[in-house]
Amino acid sequence: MYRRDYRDIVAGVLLVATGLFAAFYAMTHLNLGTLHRVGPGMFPISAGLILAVLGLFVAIPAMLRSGPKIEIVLRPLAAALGAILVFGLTIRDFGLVPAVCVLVAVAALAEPVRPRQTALLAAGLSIMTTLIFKVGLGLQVSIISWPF
Amino acid sequence: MLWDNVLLGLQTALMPANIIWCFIGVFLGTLIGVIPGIGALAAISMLFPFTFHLDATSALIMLAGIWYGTAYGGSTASILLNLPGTPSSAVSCLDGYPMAKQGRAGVALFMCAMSSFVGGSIGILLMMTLSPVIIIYAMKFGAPEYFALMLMGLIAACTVSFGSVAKSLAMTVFGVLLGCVGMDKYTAAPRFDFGLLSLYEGIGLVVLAMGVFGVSEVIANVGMTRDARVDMKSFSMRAMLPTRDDLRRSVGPTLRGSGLGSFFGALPGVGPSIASFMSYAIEKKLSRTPEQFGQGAIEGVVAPEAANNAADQTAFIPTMTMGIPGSPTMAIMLGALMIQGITPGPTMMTEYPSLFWGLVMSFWVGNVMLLIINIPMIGLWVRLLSVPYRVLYPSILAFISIGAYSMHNNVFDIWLVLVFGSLGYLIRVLDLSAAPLILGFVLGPLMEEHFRRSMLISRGDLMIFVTQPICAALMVITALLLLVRLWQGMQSIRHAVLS
Repeated sequence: MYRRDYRDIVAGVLLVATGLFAAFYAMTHLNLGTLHRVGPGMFPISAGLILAVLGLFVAIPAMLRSGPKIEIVLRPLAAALGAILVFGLTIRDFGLVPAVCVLVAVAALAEPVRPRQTALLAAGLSIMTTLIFKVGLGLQVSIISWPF
Repeated sequence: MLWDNVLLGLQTALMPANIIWCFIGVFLGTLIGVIPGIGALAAISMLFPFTFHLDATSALIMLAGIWYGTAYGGSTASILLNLPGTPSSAVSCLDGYPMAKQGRAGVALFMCAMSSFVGGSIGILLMMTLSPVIIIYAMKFGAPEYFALMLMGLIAACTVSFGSVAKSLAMTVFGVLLGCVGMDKYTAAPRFDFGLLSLYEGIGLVVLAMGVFGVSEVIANVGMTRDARVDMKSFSMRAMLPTRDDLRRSVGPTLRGSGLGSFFGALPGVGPSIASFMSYAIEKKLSRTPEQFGQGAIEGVVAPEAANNAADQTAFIPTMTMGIPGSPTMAIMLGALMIQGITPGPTMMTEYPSLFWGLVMSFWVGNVMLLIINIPMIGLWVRLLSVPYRVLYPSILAFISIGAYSMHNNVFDIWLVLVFGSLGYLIRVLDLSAAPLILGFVLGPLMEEHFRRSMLISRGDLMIFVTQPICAALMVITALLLLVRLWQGMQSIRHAVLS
């Protein structure tokens, strides 16, 4: 426990920042228009400003109360995002099966690794996804390819 | 007249080919609903190319089957894993999961299927009998009314949402901002595209939902030593049978949920998610034991389930009768029609009566199939869930990644999933909630359109929102909701300062 609710303070500050950024970006890039002829900027600018105000409503009360610790689980976070990342990097050039295999391999790092089980899962998922997406849905992607 | 139409509809819906397509639809729908992170929208968009080979009626029957089938499947995942398979079944987590933890998962699932069936049936009945009345009523709604209605829907949904109202309102507005990304409909001006062509086309709902719900869920659940194994004993027919008390407590909520769901489903842009949120809130307010909500109250499961299934059916009313899609999924349905050369709109019902009534009657067929698929076969779906999470989460990530890629054959969508996955995790860590974000994202663009249209009608006079009676009433309700909440917020600050 902290003396202040830092979790909500961070949330509020981030919301204020997002709102102000959106409003500022919209003001500089988009035409506000008039009420008679509403421009593309009016909605984003108002939404941004409202968001900033709401962010204050989140942050200010939080300064007056105690709050829990912010907890982040780094390993699953890195593994899950990494898995999607390597999939995105390989799908186009190497094809579906290699992309699924690297995805499974990286995703497995989120927990203590069990090589046999991971390999089996990769094989099973490769077959399943190929059947569903390539054969079944006719997705325009090669099953396996070598770009070089 | 109605009788002739019903007969015509039955003839169409009971054609062997249409029965098969209906079954394929509801089966896939249940499967997809059970597997978290893949929603109806993703499935429908992936299967969309298949419909080129079907005739319009079969295509629509199948796509519709997926749509209402996911509501059944989605609640299974909500109840057993606290993981909403679809946004509209998110509310079922609140009490369904506690019930499962108390060993009453079987009862929860059974009551869920029953109330879904009742809700769906009432929705269909209303669509058949009241649709002309609803059309006349809704036809009176102009842009200002729609704007006021959506505003009310969003704000009402925020007061229901878990935790702080300021937070959920903020997330709604954030969703509205995300909905702004892309080309402006009126002027074609690029908004928040940061010079990227892929962003100019806007952010896909599916990609956003996959990221903030699917990926962040995986991150939060991996590594937790949790027992995902589900006790199969609680799914024997015997353990599934509700007690007399369960049944007695479910009747009222199911009927109220169905009514509420039917009403909200028929309004463009509102749909099953808000309907289920609303009905949960109302049951909590009406209950003599509101403290049981969140601890496994059966009312909190059956009411939203009845509501979202009723809404799933009545969502077709504006889509099929006026050609106004109430949701992205409905927009895809209309797309399927237009590819077949059918112009959606008020004339469609008279020009293609077998299409309209065939679709309506196929809802019955589909709902009966779903009841059969879900009650005796619940073990199959549960087994899908009792796969260890070690095996499940790489599979979810793979399906999400491929699903995102398959929509436009574009790697950029995978990067968006990555971004929204991180955002979703941040949202979770900071104790914000993603459901209002999605609502804002879906309704934002519609609200903007109605706002701008209203301003065109009134020549820039904001008073248009308070001079029309229906509109004014909606605005007053919205203002009251906000004021009550603001007052409550002030009270809590005062308490914090004093203590």
